[in-house]
Amino acid sequence: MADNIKAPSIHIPKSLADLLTEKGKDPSLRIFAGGSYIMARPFFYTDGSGDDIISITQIPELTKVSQTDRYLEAGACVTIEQLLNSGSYLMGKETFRAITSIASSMVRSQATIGGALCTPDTRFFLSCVLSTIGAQVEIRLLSKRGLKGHKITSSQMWLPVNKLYNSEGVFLYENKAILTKVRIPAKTNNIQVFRTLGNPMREMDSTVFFGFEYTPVPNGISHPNLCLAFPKNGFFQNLDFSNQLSSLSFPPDSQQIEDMAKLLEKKLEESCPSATPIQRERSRRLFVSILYQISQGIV
Amino acid sequence: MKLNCTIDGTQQSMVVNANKPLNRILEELSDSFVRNHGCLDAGCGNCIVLINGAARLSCLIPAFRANGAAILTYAGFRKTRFCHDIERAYAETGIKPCSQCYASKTILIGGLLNRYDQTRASSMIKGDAENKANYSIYSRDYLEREMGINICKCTDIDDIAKVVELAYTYRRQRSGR
Ligand SMILES: Cc1cc2nc3c(=O)[nH]c(=O)nc-3n(C[C@H](O)[C@H](O)[C@H](O)COP(=O)(O)OP(=O)(O)OC[C@H]3O[C@@H](n4cnc5c(N)ncnc54)[C@H](O)[C@@H]3O)c2cc1C
Ligand code: FES
Repeated sequence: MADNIKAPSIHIPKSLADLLTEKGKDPSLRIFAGGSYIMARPFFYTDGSGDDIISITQIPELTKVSQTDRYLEAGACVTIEQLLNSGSYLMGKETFRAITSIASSMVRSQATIGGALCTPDTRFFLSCVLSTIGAQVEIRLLSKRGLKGHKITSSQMWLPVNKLYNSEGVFLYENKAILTKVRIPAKTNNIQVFRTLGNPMREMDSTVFFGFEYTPVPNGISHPNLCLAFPKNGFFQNLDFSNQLSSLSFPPDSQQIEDMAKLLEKKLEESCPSATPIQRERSRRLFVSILYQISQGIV
Repeated sequence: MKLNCTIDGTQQSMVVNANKPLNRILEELSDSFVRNHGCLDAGCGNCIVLINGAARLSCLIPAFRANGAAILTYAGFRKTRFCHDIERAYAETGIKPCSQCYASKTILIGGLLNRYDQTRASSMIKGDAENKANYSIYSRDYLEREMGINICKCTDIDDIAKVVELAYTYRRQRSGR
């Protein structure tokens, strides 16, 4: 039953050090975590590209979960379902609910945190949720030092989730780094709102992932953090916009809400030009409705 | 690669490309396995099988991940008592998925009832009570999300809920619980 299609070889490293060495030596090896994104690409098998695969789910360092009072730390190969199981005490209810809304338990039991964050050209809901709540990720950079000796080095760093992407939503570290851990902050008194409009697998050009977090203070909100992700078309988290939002006094009147919505439209146009008109309109409406709900004390 | 696994209780050994999707392997082995050549992006939900007891979209499983696994397609599942409970519930309620999605939806319901069993035995989600309630596997929301993996809209979700409830009653009666 071997088809007339190039067969890839499969590498299964048993430690992080082995993974870094193998991937460093051959950056074209395709990292395979849960495989739900890779296998769901149209023509993944039949196009015959047959890139060699490096399967990373048997690396103990990548499958561990640990907790402190302040955060939960999970390896990149922890599945989304395992994250829900271990994070139930620690995550706020809106965060927890948002993550349970991803696909179904069947897909969540296969999809890993790393896979959900590192898809090269598609942003999924987990990136929006984790970015909104200020989660951090650890990555290990792969670099070849000295062309002659092919010496492999790797360096480790922690980043906020939003630093993994550019404003077009492209993953900036494809074949340059391996995501190894994610650190999810424990619930606080902050309020979070998450929404998905559209089906991210079937309606990529109209789907909007929306995340908003703020600290409620008398007459206003502080530390607002808005994150919008459009599967194929952009990733938006804008400090300037958040600052403007925190200067708004509450409850804002409808004119102020309209002004903020216009500002959001402008910022989206500037930084996510590939977002489709329907994605921008959906984002605007979601934002306006959330502002009204906050000012009426509903969220 | 050499793939060794059990398919519907029969030990199989074959040479396949390591990245070959399991649904293609099953299609070639058995005429009765649903063919979904039109589905290119895991979008139809008609290729569900049980792998080591857990429901999975077989098109998302490459051969190298199926090595050593016990795979149950509908052809094997239909011979089990668990499937008989579901089919009895179909007959009793008069609600039945269409021929296109029948196999997958029946396995999906089987997987869901397995989860009910596990949850009764040991609380699956430990932790915060509110989060537990939000995640309730008995909720309509949960059922809708789980069944939503199959896009066929032939059966209303409230009807599926009736089948699930009745099938679970039969399962519990049978095991004296
Ligand atoms: C049927 C279906 C329904 C879905 N529904 C939803 C939904 O409702 N909402 C939603 O948000 N998403 C949804 N998804 C998308 C899903 O979230 C992703 O497919 C999944 O998270 C990818 O994770 P994985 O572990 O399977 O990744 P893989 O397919 O293994 O990998 C994905 C990409 O990330 C790279 N990669 C993986 N791990 C690492 C790492 N540690 N470091 C660096 N690179 C890495 C891989 O090389 C690959 O390019 C759905 C998917 C399917 C198949
Ligand atoms: S073949 Fe369509 S979901 Fe698997």
